[in-house]
This record gives sequence, structure tokens and C-alpha cells, in this order.
Amino acid sequence: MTAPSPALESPLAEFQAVTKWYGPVIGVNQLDLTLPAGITGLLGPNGAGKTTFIKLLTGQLAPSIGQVLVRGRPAWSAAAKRFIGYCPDVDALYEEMSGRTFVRWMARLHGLSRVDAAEQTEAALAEVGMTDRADRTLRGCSKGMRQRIRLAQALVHDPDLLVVDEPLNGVDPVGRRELMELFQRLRARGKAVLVSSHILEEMDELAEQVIFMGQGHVLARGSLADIRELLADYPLKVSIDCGSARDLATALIGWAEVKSISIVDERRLQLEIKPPEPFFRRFAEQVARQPAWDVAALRTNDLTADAVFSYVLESSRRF
Amino acid sequence: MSDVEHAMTVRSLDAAAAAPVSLGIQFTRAGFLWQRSLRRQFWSRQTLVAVMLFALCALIVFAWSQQRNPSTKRFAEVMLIPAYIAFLLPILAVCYGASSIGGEREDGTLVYLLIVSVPRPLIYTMKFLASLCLSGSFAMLSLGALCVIAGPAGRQAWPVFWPASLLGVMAYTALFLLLGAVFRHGTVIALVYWFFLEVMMGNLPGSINRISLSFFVKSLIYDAGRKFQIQPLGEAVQVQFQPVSGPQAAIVLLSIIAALYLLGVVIFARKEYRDVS
Repeated sequence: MTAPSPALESPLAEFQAVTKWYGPVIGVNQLDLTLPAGITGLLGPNGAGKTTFIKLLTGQLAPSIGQVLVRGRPAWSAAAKRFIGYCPDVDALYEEMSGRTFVRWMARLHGLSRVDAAEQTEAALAEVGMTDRADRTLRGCSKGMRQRIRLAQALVHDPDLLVVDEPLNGVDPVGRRELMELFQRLRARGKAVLVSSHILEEMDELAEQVIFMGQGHVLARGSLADIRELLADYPLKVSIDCGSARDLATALIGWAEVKSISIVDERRLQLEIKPPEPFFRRFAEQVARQPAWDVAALRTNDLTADAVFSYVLESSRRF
Repeated sequence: MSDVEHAMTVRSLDAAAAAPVSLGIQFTRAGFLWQRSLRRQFWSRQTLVAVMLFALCALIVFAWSQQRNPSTKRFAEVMLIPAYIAFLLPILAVCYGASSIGGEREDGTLVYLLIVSVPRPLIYTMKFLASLCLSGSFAMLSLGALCVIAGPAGRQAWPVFWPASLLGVMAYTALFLLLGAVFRHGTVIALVYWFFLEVMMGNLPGSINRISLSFFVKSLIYDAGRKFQIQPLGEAVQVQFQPVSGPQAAIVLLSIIAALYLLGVVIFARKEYRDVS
């Protein structure tokens, strides 16, 4: 039994007081974080610093201050790149190559022997569902197929961390489902996945934790629920389906936890509540005692990435 | 692949990832990159362009060779120097030098070289060697073919021209590879350089023409071609053109090739390609 090597014991990826300038413009500012295992979503509006973050992590850019480490090695170094697989969002490939040739070529460049490269190529192509279609030249492949090939080249050397930039753009719903399942499989195998996306609904389903970026800073990170809890300043929005919205509104309006009520229609109320826990406890007790309320459903849309992201941005602007 | 086999491959890959990369693996990667670069550039439209331009030169040489008593001197001065040295050689270097890294950058595929676990100096070196092999081979083959087409006059010109042509195309290739690595539109910059510095300034009188590579290439040719009295065309030009000796010119060209290579390695190793991905 051999001890694990020091490289494998080091954190997967660390940003240590990282700042990156592009001339007078700051790309990212004072980033300090360690990338967790599992699936992490990287969210932010245009200009937030997501692309800079990814390029620093994948060693395409060097930090102006601080350091980015991958398994204890500078991300810029060749050695660090062995641990990362990067799927770029730009649809640029070696058009004259077949998908299989391209993936095998990347495997060889990562140092795999001819035999291992062939084996891993087939494994990577199977992982992305391209085994039977990888012999076409890339020029003749659809956008979805090219996306899968780009993923395959990122996976072929079995990296510890897969970094995917806008992976689901332009992919059909079936393809999206398959890609999400792929990320889940990778997570189950102990790999980390970092997914950058504008599509916030994807993060709800996919990411165990998210990193919100804005104006070059990490504004918040953690699970969506954890981030939401941190934003104690902001009331939680809930909607209630009931027998009579007006009657229920009258009953709830005096509650201290209810900050605002709006009647959507005869049978639906929209509330803003703060803090949520006491409200839910009290409401549950009252629903049992007040059958006339006839509560059919209680929902919150607030835990979606969209809502949390809006709050996070709004919260950051207050400082 | 079964789960057990997959697990074993993964463990071996993990162990391989953690260990420092051996010299053998680096050598293998380097060789693979060189081979792929060579093959990819050979089977590209740049080769088509080079072949077409060579065919044009060949036609011109063939037409010229039909005259009565073509001499080696005339062949060198009227055909090889303007058509081959001043035109075809730089174009070959643009085809295989500027497009090597510059072409990948313009196509957006450079990102794949920047994210693999191959040290950047090694990537540049393999690209450099692949480009030199291609441009050098093409230069020698085309020179040989032109000399054969020209007949006995051409065959006598071969030993005069081949060292200068080889060093010249290597110097141009090293320069244009560097330009492709530094500038976003390296091919355009290389062509602009060729036209303004090599064609225009290279033909200016005095010592200003020494900033062009063609000055040293021609110095080599004139030195080697003394037996045939090969010299610049036109009396005025003959007076103004003050070549250096052949050995001096060779040393300068070799030094330029080495310096451009080292500069390219340093720049490529540190440059951030923000426009890629």
C-alpha cells in the first residue's frame, strides 16, 4: 500500500489573493478561494470576471498579483495542466481532423502512450456519446457534435477538474440532459466540475454550490440555500394557493414576519416574509387549526439561482 | 472497458499525473507535436499556394531557358535572384513560418496548445523545427527543380545558391514564426515586413540595406558566385551594393536564426493570448 503523492493531497485549485489587470481595467480583484469538490457553478453578468477566472484557472493568463495553484503547482505551469480539462466555449477546432483523431491527438499531447491514448479516447468518446460519430471530419459535424468532441478532449486525460465554459449554449434539450448526466457521473467518480453559465436555471438543477461573481469580485459562494440564508436583509418571496386569497390576506397581514402581501388573484397570494423559519412554523400550525384557509400549495421561487443572483448583486451594490 | 480496467487505468493515470514527467515522455510528446505540426502544415492550403507559386517560377525559368546559350551568370542574376531569392523564398517562409502559430491563433485552435501539459518553450521549439523542415525542404526542392529546368546553366548555379537559400529561408521562417506568435495577424505583418523592409529597403544604397535579411543572403551568393562573376544587375547598383564576405554573412544569418528562436521561445512562454477562447 503506497501513500498518496503530495500532489494529490494538495487542494484541487486555489486562488490566493489574486488580482488581474488588463491595463487600467481590473479583471478580477483580490480573489481568495479554494475550489470545492463536486459541481460548482460560476455565475455572473457580462464583465463580472468569469472568463478571467477561468483563464487564470486553466493557465491561459497569469495573475498580476497573487497566485493560482492547481494541486499545489502554479496554474500557468505545464505540470498543473495535467490535472485540468478545459472545454472552451469558442467553436474552434482542427476542421480537417476527425473527432477521434483530434481527441487522440490531445491525449498524446498530454503524455499518454499510444495504447493509453487509444483506450482513453474511446472511453472519452463513449462518455460524451460520440463513439459512432467520431470518424467524421469536424468540418462536417453539427454544433452539438463539436461541443461533445470539445468535451471529450477535455476528459481524455482523466483530469481531476473539468472546467466547462458555457457548455449548454445551443444544445437541444435532450443533449442538455445528457450533458448534465455526464457531469453528475463525473461527480460520482470524485471529479470536480466547474461550469460557467449565463443560464441560471441550469445551476438550479446541476450545481451543488455556486460562485457568484460581479465586478471582478466573488460576491458570494456556497449552496444556493446557504447563500440565500446569508442574505438576511432580503425578505423571502412565497406564493400561496388557497380558497380565498382575500380572507387569508386579512389573517396574515398582522403577522410580524409578513413584510408585504399582494393578491395575485382570487386564489393566490404573494408574500414577502422575514425571517422565513418562524413564519413557516407558525403558518404550519395555523393551517392545521384553520381549515377554512383551504391552503392548497405554498411555494417559493426564491431559491432559484436567478433570484439569489439578483439579491447578491443588489446586496453588493449597497456596499 | 470494464469497471475494474477503468479503475486501473485511472489509478495509473493518477500516479502518472503526480510524478514528475520523465525526459522520455517529454521527448515523446515533443516528437509527436513536431510530427503533427509538420503533417498538418504540409497538408494545408499553404502548400497549395507554395506549389502554385513555384509552378509560376518554373514556367518563367523554362521560358528563359529556351534562349540561345543561357549562362550561369545570367540565370543567377536575371532569374534566380529576383524570382527565387527575392520572391519565392520569403513566400515559403510566410506560408510555413507565419502560419505555424499565427494561423492557429487566427483559427482559434491555439487554445488547445495552451491547455496541454507541454511546456510552452517545447511547443515553440517543435513548431519552429517543423516550420524549418517544411520551408527548408521546399526551398531546396524548388531550387533544385529550377536549376534542372534551366539546364546546364542551372546545374552550375546549384552549389552557389543552395547554402544561401537554405540559410535565407531559415532566417525568414524564424522571423515570420516570431511575428505570428507576437502579433494577431502575423501573416499580414510578415507580408508587410517583406515588402517594405526586404523589397524596398533591401534595395536602397548604402548601409541601410543591411537591416534586411536579403542583404546577407545576396552577400553569400555573390561571394560563392565569384567564379561566375555573379553580381547585382546594373552598374549603379553594383557600386552601391557593398556586400560582406560569405563567412560573415553566414555567421550573421545563423546568429539571427538563433536569436529569433530564443526570442520566440521567451515571448511565447510568457505571452498571454487573450484573444484565444
